Amino acid sequence: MPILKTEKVTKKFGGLVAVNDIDFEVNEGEIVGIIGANGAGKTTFFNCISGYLKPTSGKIMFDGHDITNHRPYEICKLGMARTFQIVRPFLNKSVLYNVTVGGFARTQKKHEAVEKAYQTMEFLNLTDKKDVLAKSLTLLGRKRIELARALATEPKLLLLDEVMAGLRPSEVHNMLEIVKKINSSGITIVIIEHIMQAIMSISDKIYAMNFGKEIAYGTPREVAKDEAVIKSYLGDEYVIPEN
Amino acid sequence: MKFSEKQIKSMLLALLMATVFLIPMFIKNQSYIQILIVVMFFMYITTAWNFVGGFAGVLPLGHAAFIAIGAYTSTILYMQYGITPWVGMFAGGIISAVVGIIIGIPTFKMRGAYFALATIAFGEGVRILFQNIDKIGSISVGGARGILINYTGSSFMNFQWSNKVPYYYIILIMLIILLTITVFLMDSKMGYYLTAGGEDPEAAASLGVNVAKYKLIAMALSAFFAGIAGTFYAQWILYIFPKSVGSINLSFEIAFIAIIGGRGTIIGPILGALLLKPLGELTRTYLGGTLPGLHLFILGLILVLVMIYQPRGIQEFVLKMFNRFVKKIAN
Repeated sequence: MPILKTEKVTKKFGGLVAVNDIDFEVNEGEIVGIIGANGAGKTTFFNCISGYLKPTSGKIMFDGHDITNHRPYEICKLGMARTFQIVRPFLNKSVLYNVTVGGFARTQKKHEAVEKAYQTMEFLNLTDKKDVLAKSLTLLGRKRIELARALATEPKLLLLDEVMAGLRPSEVHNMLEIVKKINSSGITIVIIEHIMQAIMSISDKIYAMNFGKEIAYGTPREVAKDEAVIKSYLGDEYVIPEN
Repeated sequence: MKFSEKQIKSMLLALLMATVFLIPMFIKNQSYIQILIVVMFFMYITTAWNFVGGFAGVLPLGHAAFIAIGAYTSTILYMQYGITPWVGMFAGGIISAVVGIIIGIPTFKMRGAYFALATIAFGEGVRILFQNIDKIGSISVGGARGILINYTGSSFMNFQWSNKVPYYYIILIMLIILLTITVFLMDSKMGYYLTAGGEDPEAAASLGVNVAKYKLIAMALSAFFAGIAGTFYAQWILYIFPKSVGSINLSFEIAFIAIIGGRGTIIGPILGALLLKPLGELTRTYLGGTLPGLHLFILGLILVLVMIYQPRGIQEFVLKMFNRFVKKIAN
């Protein structure tokens, strides 16, 4: 059963069609990757799903609810969380404070929110950094706070917008493990990423976009061989390493 | 005997409490008591302002309007309907809160300087309104002349005393209540959500925070407590007019105190008022004759220096020193 389904979602900015007629489906428990060249409309599509932009037309269904006109905080309450491409932690606050804000999504009581925050930090190995201010963390650290904060809201679906961009190869590996771990705890994931080696290895399905339109959809193997994807994005056939 | 840092802090707090409650027994000079009342009055209104200006992360510059609304409400109720200011105080607070919500709904959609400008326009609008309205029906507002509250001698029901000491205790208790509420709120979901929305509204929304709702709650609380301060002011000075309770200078001064002390912290408004008000009073007293306006110049200079060297207010530095001091005693 699809947990997230969009029907003919279109977003126009004046004359520019950033997202064009997208039919998209994610089944519970999957990891679905979205790829495409810069400006293909990936982040705009994410913003439509998570309520930051109202689609010009089309319909978005999440977990049995029509969320097309919902606002971001309402969508979060329904069980969808996201991270931002340009990380935006609460810089002047500690890691614990950042994650506790997420922990309040399902409770009114502070001790429950804090407990949730500790569980999440434990899960992401952040506990030893709990009193550090977000602004004094490295990029990887900040990305982990964003993840922890989003996870503390107890989502069913997690949207990850380029969580690996800008990280060193060893850190990418670290982040991949984290994403897999989150998925195996039962959370469905939609991920935008440019690092092919990363996205091809963890995704169950890949959705490729160009100029706001779908150009390919299928398993990583199928998409990597797709003519349109190679022409518009990969440039050459991407050979998935055997492991 | 050895004490933990926490014990030392509680003892220092108890000592501070005892001192502030006992001060009037030792200081008999009424003008010193008056300065202390001024300082605590500014601590109080800046703490009320801090809900919006500090924690919610915007810069309101029209809070004098709420003080004026509170002052006028209770004064009109008292002078023309004989209702005790103790009741009028809450009536004024509630009207202020309602006005705060009505103003908050459109202005919170604006960011940064635009919000500040909109609140200046609101504050000045309220002042000009009071200044130009002489009567609404049978209610006398007094226009630019304001309202002189008739002096009845010391009376609890009439909220007035010939001596300054009762005012000292009233503002002290008001301040303690407001600080307690602030500490309690900021440690709850309300405080976390308000602060998160103030730091980054988009990121907060992604975590389930209804930013607009929490900002409006903060505005209502802030306006309510500012309105109550208006009644205190009216009964303490026994004369209100639009340029005293509703002036833009008052709105700016509150913001200055908060910024210099440290916006969005509980201790910031306290330290800011403690530093700036006595300084302002002293320079005005001793240099006001020869160099009028010098106290405003000094205020501006302090603001610039603090912005350059302590952008998060003097609280950061003072807290660091305080913690070091406590540590030293503990060991």
